Amino acid sequence: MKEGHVIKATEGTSKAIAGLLKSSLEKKIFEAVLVPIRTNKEYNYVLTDNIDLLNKAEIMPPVMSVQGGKVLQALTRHGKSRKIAAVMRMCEIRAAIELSKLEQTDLENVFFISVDCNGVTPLSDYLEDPSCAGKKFRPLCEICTSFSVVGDEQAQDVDIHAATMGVDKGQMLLIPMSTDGESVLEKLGIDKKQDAGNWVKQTEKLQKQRTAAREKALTKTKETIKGLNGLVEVFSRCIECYNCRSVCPICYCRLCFSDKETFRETGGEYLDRAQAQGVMKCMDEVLQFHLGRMSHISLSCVSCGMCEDACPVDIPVGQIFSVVAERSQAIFNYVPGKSSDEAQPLRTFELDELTEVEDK
Amino acid sequence: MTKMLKIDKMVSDGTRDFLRFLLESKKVRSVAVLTREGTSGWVSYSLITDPEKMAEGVPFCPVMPHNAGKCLSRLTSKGPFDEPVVVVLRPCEQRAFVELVKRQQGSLDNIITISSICPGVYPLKTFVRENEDKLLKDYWSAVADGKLPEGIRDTCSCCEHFVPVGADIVITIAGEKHTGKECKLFANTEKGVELLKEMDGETREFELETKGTETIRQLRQKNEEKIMADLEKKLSGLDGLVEMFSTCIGCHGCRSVCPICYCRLCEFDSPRSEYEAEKYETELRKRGGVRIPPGSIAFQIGRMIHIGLSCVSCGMCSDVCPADIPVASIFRKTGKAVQDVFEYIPGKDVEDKIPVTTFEEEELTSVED
Repeated sequence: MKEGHVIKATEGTSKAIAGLLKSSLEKKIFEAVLVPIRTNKEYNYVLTDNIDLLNKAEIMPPVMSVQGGKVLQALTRHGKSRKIAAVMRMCEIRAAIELSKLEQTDLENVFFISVDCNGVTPLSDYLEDPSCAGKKFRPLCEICTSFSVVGDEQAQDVDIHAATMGVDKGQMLLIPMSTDGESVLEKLGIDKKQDAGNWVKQTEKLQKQRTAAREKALTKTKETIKGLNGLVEVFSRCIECYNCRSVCPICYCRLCFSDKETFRETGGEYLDRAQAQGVMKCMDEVLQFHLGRMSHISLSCVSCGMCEDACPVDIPVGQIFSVVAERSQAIFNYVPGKSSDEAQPLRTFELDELTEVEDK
Repeated sequence: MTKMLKIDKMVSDGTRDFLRFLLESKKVRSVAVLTREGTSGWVSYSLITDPEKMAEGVPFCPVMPHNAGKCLSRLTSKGPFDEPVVVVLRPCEQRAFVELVKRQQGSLDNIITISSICPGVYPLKTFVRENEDKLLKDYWSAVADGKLPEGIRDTCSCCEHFVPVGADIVITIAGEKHTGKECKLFANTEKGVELLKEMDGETREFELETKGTETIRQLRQKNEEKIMADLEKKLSGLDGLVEMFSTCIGCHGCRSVCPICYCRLCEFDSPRSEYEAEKYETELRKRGGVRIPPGSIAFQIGRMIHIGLSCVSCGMCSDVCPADIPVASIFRKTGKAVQDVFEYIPGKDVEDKIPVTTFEEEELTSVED
């Protein structure tokens, strides 16, 4: 029987967690906390130890302007931080863990608090009409199965999970997910235990629905990218702005392979190339870029949907990457960001694997 | 007065015929022009060598998927075209290419330019999301009325350099009321005159700019005053700047599509823009809170300094901004201010040196002690 520690959340999830963070700062459990804070129109991750500033914290902001994994990369890419607590969505935590495997984050001193996630609103919709926050969601959020710490995809590096789904209004359940998590709750004096059965039931139910919806949606996406023609057509609008790559939490290379001039030719050679078919797109590296990026990141793709949000020409790039990621991850039975102890498939050698692609 | 060839066809059709004639007569090896792809219907800048493929050409489709100057840089930065190629460019694209050539990022060798008196383009998002047939209809009917189309890019609606300089051939569109049945090609240079030879149509001497051009210029001036005044209000002081860029998500898409930003590795992607955890903690102690990742305003200002003198105000940056920041108008405003200081018009002439690459003993005395 799963149990959680019950706290009041009469003013909503955000205030309840901010209160928790305030007392943990006062008790010097953490030296600082990393949370989204509302600044002007926008929400940004802020590292703070200022209790007053935490009043402006928006724990689950309606949009994801920068992926939390990327935020932790900026903070810890050159070495670990001091003891901090980071409150993030599951896909952000999972991205941070993938980045640690790529030596882009150092999470030793990061205490993760995750929260049940309803998804985020696409940035452009939110900017156009902020009132659609909480009503309209990223397509990938609508079919996300790792919105909480349930099932096979639970991230083992979470320390405390804040459960809200299926929990009585005005309350929140804090579920310790690690020994660190337990000891923090103890230090905070949060000891009123409550059965978490309703939350488990609710999340499992939602996960079932999402799994079915996901299969349906991804099958549809799969159809649109069928064969080379499908791929060419769906990416034909791409203008090579590389926004998808820039905002992707997994794409971390300082200089991307696709910025190389390896395949660039002289003007004369381009004319010959055009001659071969009678017409040639000048920006002719589109498909190569997307397929390249796909093969580079698909094992670690956490389907956060940042790429799709940032695409100025509305290519469903996140959904396409998710289709491919799901399949490549299944081959290796790998769930990105599930555990920082689990090595990335391409970095390990198994004597017996992928025998089906061997010569008979 | 300039030598003009009139083709009695819609401006796009006439231009297509002319380009086809250039390929068929082997005056050029290839034509660089916007084309529409068969299956997806999307528009992109392409090289055509086969006259039959000219049917896919949409020379004046009111969208700019890339700044064509950037495309030409990609095609010629490793080595120039070895045979004549005629390129169809909007004035800002032509100017961008010239700026890139000055930076050794491309070559004008064997390039003959056709440009147009430009009515502007729609933002990419408009073109992707709205009904294209309606957009095209509205666009061309506004042109035929001698007006500026509604809903074009902000930078287009206040563009002052919509009459091309230095192009070999200029096609009149904005301010030209008969684009529905006439295509007027003006030969601006000797090369242009050569190209027009033997093409069917009526040749005579004519003024490139008309009353209609002047009307468009005035409309754009008015728009500029309005857009820039609004912007000035919003941008005043550091607070204004912070507010304006608060929605920036750091995707740097503005930089990727900017025809002038050509660095393979940007300063802002270099290790100099990365910090140790300790640095954040020092800032934290000073200020009580630090935004991560930092530097979104430093990035914008840095980029502004790097490209301000050469900014051609094409508007690509605003088009790709996922946070709808009016980057292009901001850069236009600052760009114009520095360009005015040096009396420099980016892309006007390939012989004009970029001001910061030259030394004048007597200049900017106003800022001396």
